[in-house]
Amino acid sequence: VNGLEPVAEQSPVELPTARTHLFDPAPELASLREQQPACRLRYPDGHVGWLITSHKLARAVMTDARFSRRPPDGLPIGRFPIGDPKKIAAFFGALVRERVMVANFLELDPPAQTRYRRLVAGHFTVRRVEELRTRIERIVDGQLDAMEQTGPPLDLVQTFALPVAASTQYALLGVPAGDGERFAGLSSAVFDPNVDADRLTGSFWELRDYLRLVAEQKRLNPENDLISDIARRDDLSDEERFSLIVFLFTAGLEPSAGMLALATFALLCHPAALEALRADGSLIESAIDELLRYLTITQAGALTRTALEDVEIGGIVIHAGQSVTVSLAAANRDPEKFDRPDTLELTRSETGHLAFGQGVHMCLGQHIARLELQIGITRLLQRFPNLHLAVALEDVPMVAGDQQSYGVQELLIGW
Amino acid sequence: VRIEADRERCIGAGMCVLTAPELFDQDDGDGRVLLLRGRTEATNAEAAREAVLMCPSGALSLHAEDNGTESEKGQDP
Repeated sequence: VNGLEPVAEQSPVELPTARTHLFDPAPELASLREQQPACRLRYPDGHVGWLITSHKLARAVMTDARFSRRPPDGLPIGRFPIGDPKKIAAFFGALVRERVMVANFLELDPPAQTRYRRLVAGHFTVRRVEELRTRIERIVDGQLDAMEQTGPPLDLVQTFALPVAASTQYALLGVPAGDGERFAGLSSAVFDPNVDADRLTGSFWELRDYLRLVAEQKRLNPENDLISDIARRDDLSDEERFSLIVFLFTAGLEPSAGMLALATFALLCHPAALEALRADGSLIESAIDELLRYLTITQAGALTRTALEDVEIGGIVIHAGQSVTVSLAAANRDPEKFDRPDTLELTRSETGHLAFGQGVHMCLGQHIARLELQIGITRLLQRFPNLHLAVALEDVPMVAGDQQSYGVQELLIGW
Repeated sequence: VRIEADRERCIGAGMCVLTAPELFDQDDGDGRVLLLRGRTEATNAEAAREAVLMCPSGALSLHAEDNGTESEKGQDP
């Protein structure tokens, strides 16, 4: 008789964000993955959708064209499973109003997404990125020189991770020499959800004027860089050019910087792994991918998708119009995919982690991110054989669980 | 085994080039996949299979040589 009773509609969870361990995602994610890898999720604005926590279902959702990035009517762009919905709506509202998002292809579905992505994808191929190697090495070495000159203790975030990531972006885009800080300052003002609307609009206009000028220069004297290419496309409006440039710059900046700092911290907290890497530099490639998997900094999960029609997945039906959030952190710790998933193993052989997402929106800049991390970590360890934390482990300020991306706020190091 | 690449589906992520550079390349213009060889040999069959699995857009597939019947495919987006 018991078996015949209808199963009660499970009550929705909120995205678990409370970490109990420095580098592990919230433990509730593991029990959800075991018991109901697709479960109901309540978003901060009150609507109820789905949370995916297994690797298999995560991959299935992200590679299925029936899950769209376009929000259904009435829901704001940028539906996030965490954060203050009013603030997020106001922030994205301003970006949409100022047309900053028109060519941001993370917010689009194919074929519009495909068109914009292919327009710039030539700059992100494995071969093209490899051509940046020498420049990134020079950037990293320059930063290490400056650190040595100042002397320890130093905050690795401000003196290494952020400047390395920013300078790499300048090189890729072709930001005119000497303009880097101005460009970065304006971009971060545009994408800072904490500034007020007036300042936001002011920064928009200033950045747009500046980029129009740069694009004009690059049209006359084109170089082998992203801005030159975008500036010369006849099939793009000024609005689209502006949107693409700003999107590509900001999308590659903070994740790379955040990952560079957090990966360093994680290695300092895993002395055996650190020693192994110091002893055999050829481990760096697998080490970086393992750190990407183990740390999965996008703690809010992949970009929210919406089902365009009823989709059956893993024995459940996601109805048309429902939101779906994929926890990349949970999927990357799935024991069905990764042996001993909660252990950092720099020589791990399993491939297929989802730190860069999957499907048509998979991170365009992943090869640049990898190269930056490989060069950055390798040279940091070479330059400072006695690299260590300059504060107690528990005093390292971490980003809170309600932020989109996990990381260290400051990492004081000595050598 | 014959390799097939659906260039309409390809998003130029470059995972195939990373996995099996002896089999795949990317277009300099739009990043899309280029087949360096249309067939796998004993030495790179494993790499080809891995590349099919790694492809984020499901653009790659392997086919048996004799009758062209589909034998292995990545996920179907």
